[in-house]
Amino acid sequence: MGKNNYFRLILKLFFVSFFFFFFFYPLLLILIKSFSLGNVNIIEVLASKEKIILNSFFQAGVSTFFCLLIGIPAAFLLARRDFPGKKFFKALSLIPFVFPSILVVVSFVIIFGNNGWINLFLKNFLGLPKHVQFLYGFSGIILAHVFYNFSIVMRFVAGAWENLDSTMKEAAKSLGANKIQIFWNITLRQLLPSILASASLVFIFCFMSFAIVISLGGIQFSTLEVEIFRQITRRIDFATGAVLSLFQFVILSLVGFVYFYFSKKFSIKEKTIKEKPKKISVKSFKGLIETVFLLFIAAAIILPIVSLVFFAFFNPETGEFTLKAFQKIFSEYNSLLGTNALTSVFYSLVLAVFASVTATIMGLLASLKQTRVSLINVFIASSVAVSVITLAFGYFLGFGSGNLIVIALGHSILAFPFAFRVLNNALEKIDEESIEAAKSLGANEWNVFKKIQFPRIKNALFVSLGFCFAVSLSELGFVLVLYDGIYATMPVYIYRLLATFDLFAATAMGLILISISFLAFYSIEFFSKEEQVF
Amino acid sequence: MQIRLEKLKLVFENFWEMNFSLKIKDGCFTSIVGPSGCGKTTLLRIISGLQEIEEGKIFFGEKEVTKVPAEKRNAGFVFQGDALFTHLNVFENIAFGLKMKKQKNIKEKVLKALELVHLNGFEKRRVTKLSGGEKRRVAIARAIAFEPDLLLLDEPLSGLDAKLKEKMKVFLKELSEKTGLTIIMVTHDIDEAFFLSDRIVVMDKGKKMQEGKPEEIFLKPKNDFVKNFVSDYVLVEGKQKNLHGKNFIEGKFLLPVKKTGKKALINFKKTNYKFFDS
Repeated sequence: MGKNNYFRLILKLFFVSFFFFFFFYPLLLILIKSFSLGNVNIIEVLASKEKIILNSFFQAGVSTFFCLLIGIPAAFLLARRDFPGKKFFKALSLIPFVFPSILVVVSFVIIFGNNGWINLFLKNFLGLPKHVQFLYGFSGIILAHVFYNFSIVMRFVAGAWENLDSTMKEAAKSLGANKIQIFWNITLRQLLPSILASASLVFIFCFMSFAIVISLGGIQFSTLEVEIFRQITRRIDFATGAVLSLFQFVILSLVGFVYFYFSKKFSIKEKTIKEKPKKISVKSFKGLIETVFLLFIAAAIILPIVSLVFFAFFNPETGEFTLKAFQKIFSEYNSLLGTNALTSVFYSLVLAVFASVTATIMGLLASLKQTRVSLINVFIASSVAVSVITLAFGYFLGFGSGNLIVIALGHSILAFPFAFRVLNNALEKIDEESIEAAKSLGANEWNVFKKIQFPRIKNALFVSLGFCFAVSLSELGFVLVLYDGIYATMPVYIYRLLATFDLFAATAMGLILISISFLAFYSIEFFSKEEQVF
Repeated sequence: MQIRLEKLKLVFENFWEMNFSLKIKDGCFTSIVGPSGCGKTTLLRIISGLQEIEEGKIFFGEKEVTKVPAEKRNAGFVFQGDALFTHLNVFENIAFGLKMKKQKNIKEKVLKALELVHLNGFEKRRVTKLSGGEKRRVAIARAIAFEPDLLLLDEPLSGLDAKLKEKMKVFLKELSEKTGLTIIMVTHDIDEAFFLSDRIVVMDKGKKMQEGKPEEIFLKPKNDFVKNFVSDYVLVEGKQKNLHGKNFIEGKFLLPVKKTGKKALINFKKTNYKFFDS
């Protein structure tokens, strides 16, 4: 065995052991736990949580439906229409991906809350005597989920739509099909894999959504993910928590299978004959509706950010702009959290830097042909079906709580699928022949990486770092299970402030979090011109 | 069906203008030949209705179809990249046009079209799993199944390997003879056009350079462009001969060459011949 092969073997072993210890092992512990219940019957446990299980399906189903309802027309406009600021609009649609879910809650409270902007408008201008309950309960969850996920549908479907072979439409036309028949029989059928892939991914994300459901759902509305959290942190009933985790894993695996099946079917081809997008004309009725729809989407994405910026500086009691909220969080020691804001920012940054670097290195090892192991497909497939709380529960059983390194490793695992997706897409774009040409010219594997692969994936590495950084930064559930009251990150800090109804301070902290997230986002947008993120 | 194109006019992005008239007899196999980018495919798209024109008239028989949209023109179109519907199987692809045009006996017609292109038993196959030649034949079957007035072929032999190309040439010839359809084929290969066509139209920058029988194009080129276009080919006249019960063509030829030597070998494609009466 040559020196190169030994090095490769070591890297592969390192990769496999990393994922065994920090992904499969914690899950194995949950499996063991759920089968060692003693007197407790699995069916009885599930039957007692019937309402919660139905809630989970129902809210995820309804959220997915509305995401499709907004996402598909938006995809059409993105793929088939040209309009001023299209690049900016595309960049905007990436925002929900890096917008921490706890901040969606904060901004939605500001806009839709009982004393929020919309209710203030209804009260002051329309004279409504009582506030309208938009936010808390089912409707609030759906609203937040749609904001958070419609862009997944939009980007998936727009990608497929842009790449539809335009001659297929012409062929249908020459065979006698009219516009509606072409849309129904050709366009929609060709888009179906991308629609189903994005719908199943949105369903999975909504099914295991945590921060939004726990903050907006209240006592009446809970889902499996939140219930698992309650069982393991409040009731200390690990057996029930394990059964529910296992059940959720099975359900999400099934939907995950649908996602992988259809996402493989709509792999984007570079060589199709593409149709040129048409310019939107506001002079026609159709063009006007399209413009209004685009503005609505842009406003829906921008408004939560504007609300955060505005509310962090504006004191509603005095009607003045002030820095008081920032002074408050940075000067006071929060006894409820046992920490202050600065420490919180520090913990968040430490975790995000560690996670983004580790996940990107792992993503590179996983996607490089030289070091790729076949196990990677199993991991990528199962990672879709493992929720954050489930993984955190496994970590709790395996490594205990209150350890910053353990939390950082968990964040790396959570960010890894993003790193893998970005880097794998970038590496797959390199044609095999150029690698073979380099080898035929005397390059060994290290030189192939250094001279051929690395220069071509440099941008993707930055995108991966930025994305993983943002993922770790916005993560709430994982830390909440494992932080043991010590390592309160920014999202935890905001969550606790919300629990004490201190919206003003929560917004100030939120603004710091979103500013850091946006730096990461900017780096993604800056480098992602040629990289496919979603 | 007879096709008439009267003074078609279209300005191209690269600043030249199409100005074109042509009359094609019923059942005639006509090839439009010319270099890449000369407007051949655009002409085909104009005839099918996929591309609009600025001026001019198009007649299918006695009926003017200039303003009739593509879906109502009843012209079968075989696209260069086949444009098969990848989400449908072979049967569904061929049946598509029949369904759109609300025709009856769909199954029967699909099977007949498949038989015509020698793909019996392929009904349930996925089109993505077919070979290049099979895909092309499905595309042809799809274009003829609904019994069009006219068949338009855009480079139907491109992208096929040499052996398959020869087979497809024979197949297209057979198809034309069996169906008696009026066929317009676009190609950049004068060799293909010579073998398949009753008439050839040489085109450059949107204009007709010469129109006539294949032998006229080769033997009496009207201008330098056509002369240059056919200059690599030598046409040899011959007579059919039967020797020991087998058919042959006997002919004499002189090949103009630049190099000199004692002996030479010349290669012919066995399929590159056609009989004519006059």
